[in-house]
Amino acid sequence: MASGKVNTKMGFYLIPLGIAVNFVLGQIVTLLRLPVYFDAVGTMVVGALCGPVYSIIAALATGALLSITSPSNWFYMANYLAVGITAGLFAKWGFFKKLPKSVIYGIIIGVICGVAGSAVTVAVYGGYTASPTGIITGAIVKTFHLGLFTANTISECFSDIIDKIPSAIIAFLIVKAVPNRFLLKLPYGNEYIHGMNRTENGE
Amino acid sequence: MNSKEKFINSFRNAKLHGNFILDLNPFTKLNCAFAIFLGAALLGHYWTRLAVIIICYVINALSGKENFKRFVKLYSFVAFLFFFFLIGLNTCFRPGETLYWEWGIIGITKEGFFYGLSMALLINEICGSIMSFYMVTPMKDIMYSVERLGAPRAASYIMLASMQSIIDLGKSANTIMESQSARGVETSGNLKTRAKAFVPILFPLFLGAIAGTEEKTVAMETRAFSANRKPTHMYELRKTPALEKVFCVFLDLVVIISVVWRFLP
Amino acid sequence: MNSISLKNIRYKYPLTDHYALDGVSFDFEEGKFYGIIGPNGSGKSTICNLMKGLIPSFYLGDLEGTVEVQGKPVDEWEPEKLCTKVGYIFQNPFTQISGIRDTVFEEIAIGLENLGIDKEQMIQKAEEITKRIGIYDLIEKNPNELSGGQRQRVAFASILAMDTDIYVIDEPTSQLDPDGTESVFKIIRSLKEQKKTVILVEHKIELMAKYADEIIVLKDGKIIKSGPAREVLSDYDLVNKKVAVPQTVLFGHEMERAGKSLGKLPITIDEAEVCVRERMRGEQL
Repeated sequence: MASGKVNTKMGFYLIPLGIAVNFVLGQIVTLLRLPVYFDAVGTMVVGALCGPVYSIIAALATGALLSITSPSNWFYMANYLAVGITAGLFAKWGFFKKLPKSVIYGIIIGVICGVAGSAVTVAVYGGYTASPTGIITGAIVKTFHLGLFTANTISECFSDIIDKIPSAIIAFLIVKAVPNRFLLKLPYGNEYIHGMNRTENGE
Repeated sequence: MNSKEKFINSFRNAKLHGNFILDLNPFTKLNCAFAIFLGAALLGHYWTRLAVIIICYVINALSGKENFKRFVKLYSFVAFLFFFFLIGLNTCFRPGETLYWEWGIIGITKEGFFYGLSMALLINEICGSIMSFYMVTPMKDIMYSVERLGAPRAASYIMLASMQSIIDLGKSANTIMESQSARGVETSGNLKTRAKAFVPILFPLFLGAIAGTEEKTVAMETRAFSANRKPTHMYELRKTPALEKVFCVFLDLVVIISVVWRFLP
Repeated sequence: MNSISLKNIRYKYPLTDHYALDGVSFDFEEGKFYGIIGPNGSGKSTICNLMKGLIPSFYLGDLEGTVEVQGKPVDEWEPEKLCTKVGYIFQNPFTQISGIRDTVFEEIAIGLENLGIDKEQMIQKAEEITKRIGIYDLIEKNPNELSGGQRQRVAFASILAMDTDIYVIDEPTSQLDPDGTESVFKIIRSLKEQKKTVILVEHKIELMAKYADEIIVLKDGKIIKSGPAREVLSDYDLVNKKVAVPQTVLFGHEMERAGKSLGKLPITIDEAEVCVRERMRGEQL
């Protein structure tokens, strides 16, 4: 008897790993003083390999845990949710199968996060968050006489795109490197199986 | 009874931390944290917000020396950053009528300063409350309470396993980074060098971890993690005393009435 | 009733061409201690996965034949019921620790919690197990801070607490140092004393020889020999087939070839000691 059942158990246990990747990569890039956050790579990988439900859980849990030491993250939960939903959805649409598409995803989610983040910054903080990017925002407002929301959107999109494009690329590379034997056990894994011509039975 | 027997016996009854604050029901603490920070946020006065910040310090102090030290360390740093940037940025960039000094794009205004102060106090009291909640409520307790309400085991598993995975993955990352720098991979220098140091850490880290995930799946399934029945608990918290529930209701009412009063014409 | 029956098993892992198991049939009787030996890639772990019901549900692939646990095909068992019948311990001590409990005592109780066992029973069971296995002094420690050998013992305890009838143990000592190995084998010995059904896959053939009632030799996915331990290990044919046998057996064979038979082929060091001593006294058994 052949078995074609899709396995979901391993996907569930991948979630804590995705969350841990979000954290640890974030710590590594801080250590290496790289100008990125990389707190969404794990979510993207979980989304790519398991789909939206799993990546949403991973994203929300990441936000909740990050808020322990950085409570202001709670305000930006919408951003985490956005990454969670889109990572899984775009994976469903095949965006993690090819590098250029992953880059496009990075741009799209970067913009979404920039806009969503800006909305939060204006609604909660009144426009200036507690970070040096506020200086850029202020400069934009004063120099170009733009509204706070617009200025924030510009500066946050800028930094989010710089963060999300490499994140998406790294997620793509990680997914590509996962060996077949694990892919078979993950909900979306079949999409990424290597070394076979894409025919009915993969023969 | 020796200490091990005492330890085992402690599971027979509800587990107590031995500290008044820590033993409060997690939902009590959640309720109080919300009531306090929402109240202070909506009431808008400087002094209520400052009071909340002070209350946070007090609660943490009452919850034990270790806890208090941790809270002070984490919160003070965060609070300082918020004060510095929020007051600074708003003073310099927010438009206002009373201009004190101008230089290029920076315009120091009185309104900007007070806006910044108000905002800094607001953000700090909210963050202080949230952080205090987490400090005085171990995740284990939160998850127990949530399970007791009917949440699936899966939820507890995710939160608790993630916390441990973060530690484990961090250790692996350190090991890999040390062996990389032993092999001469540069971790300082310009942006490009540092970025290049990043990639060789990533793949061994993740791929090792994913193999572990397959085994972890098997190991957990062997321990009946997929079981459909209602699980029992070895670690249990006490039933919430009526007094706590009464206090929560009382606090909520005080906050609601104060806020409504403030917004009445 | 047999504990586990394998009937005409042919199995291919997904995306592979060759059969990991090619025509395996075997009945594991209740209460006996079985050892499975064979070169790497011969299908030992695959058999373990089969018996645990992980094939094909987790590992996918093409399975022909049936696996029965206590008379019922494995895919007719509910997973949670199967957990109470077949316990599984494998090599890696790090992945078998759940990571969600901060004391060994609570860690051991996880399986019991999931099965809805009442608290007093859980406490008694966990206490009894920790004393039996010799990890009583570790009960307050954080399982995530233990050494490999200690973790493996905690893993054993966690499974033993579930009081299964059958234990499938896949190379439990390969990642451990000699002390760790020693302590794990003490646990395995106690399982044998309790007359549980044990199926052990091990490379350390000398230790296997001490405990196994019957031994199955696997090669290239087929059972090439099975039977009582002494019979199987004494078979010189195995040496030709490049299957590891205890050094004492090789020694015995060499003595035979040199015309100085020891009378019987010793499969453990203790036996070898006795045989040699007898021989040196000029007697033959």
